[in-house]
Amino acid sequence: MEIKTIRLDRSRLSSEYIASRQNFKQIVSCCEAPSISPFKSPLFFGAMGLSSLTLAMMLSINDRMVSDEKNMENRGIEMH
Amino acid sequence: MTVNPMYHQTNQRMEEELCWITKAKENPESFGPLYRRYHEQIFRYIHQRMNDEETAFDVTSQVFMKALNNLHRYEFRGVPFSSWLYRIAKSELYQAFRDKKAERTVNIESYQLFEIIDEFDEDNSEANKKKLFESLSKLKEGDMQLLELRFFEKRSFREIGEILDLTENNAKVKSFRALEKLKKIFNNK
Repeated sequence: MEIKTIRLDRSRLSSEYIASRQNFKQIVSCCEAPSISPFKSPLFFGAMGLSSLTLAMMLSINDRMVSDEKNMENRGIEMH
Repeated sequence: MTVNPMYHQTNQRMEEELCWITKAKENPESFGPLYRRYHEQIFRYIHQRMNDEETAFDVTSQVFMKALNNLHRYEFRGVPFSSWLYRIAKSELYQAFRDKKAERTVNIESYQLFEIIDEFDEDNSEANKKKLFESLSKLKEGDMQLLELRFFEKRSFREIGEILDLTENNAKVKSFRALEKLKKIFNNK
């Protein structure tokens, strides 16, 4: 960064003048709505919860089916 | 060297600001008291370092817009809110220089030059004032930043560290080194 100019004794702006240039409405109007991280959103937890539940149910059903099949096979062997 | 009391933060003031920040995170309208408290300080910080008044007002507005938009990221870790604002101001200021919206300017008062001449144990003569003025233009930007914060604006080393992201001790060492460099240039003139 190059320092272009050094100025001596520039007139000082008054506090009243600086205060008169405040524009809080402009600042607020330009403020975007605070974005919630998708990970913190209730939708994310809803979807995650639902899919976890479905996965757990599917796994448990699958486990039962596998064990039923094994039982059937074992019974078949016993019958022979 | 005395420290400018304008920049001093009491615990009570910081607690009050934390309250406003918490409210402003929920409702941007509650940012008003913080805006009114720091608008002039931030404007002066920016205007002091550039040539154009209107651009300084624009950059000041950008600082507060950025602060409000990023307020949800602000966490109190012992650093006053004002230092967080100054960091944004510094970043926006240098962005304005990169975008060529403004030219880097150093604004100094005569009495500030004489204070530095005093630090050098030299005579407060007009010749020395001129010599120091010329010496300042030979300084690098980093050293000039430190001199502006410490010797022209009289900020504490703690605050300089918070603004420039240095430890208090490092800010102290670097400020004195910058002054030493200026003295060397001054003596070689």
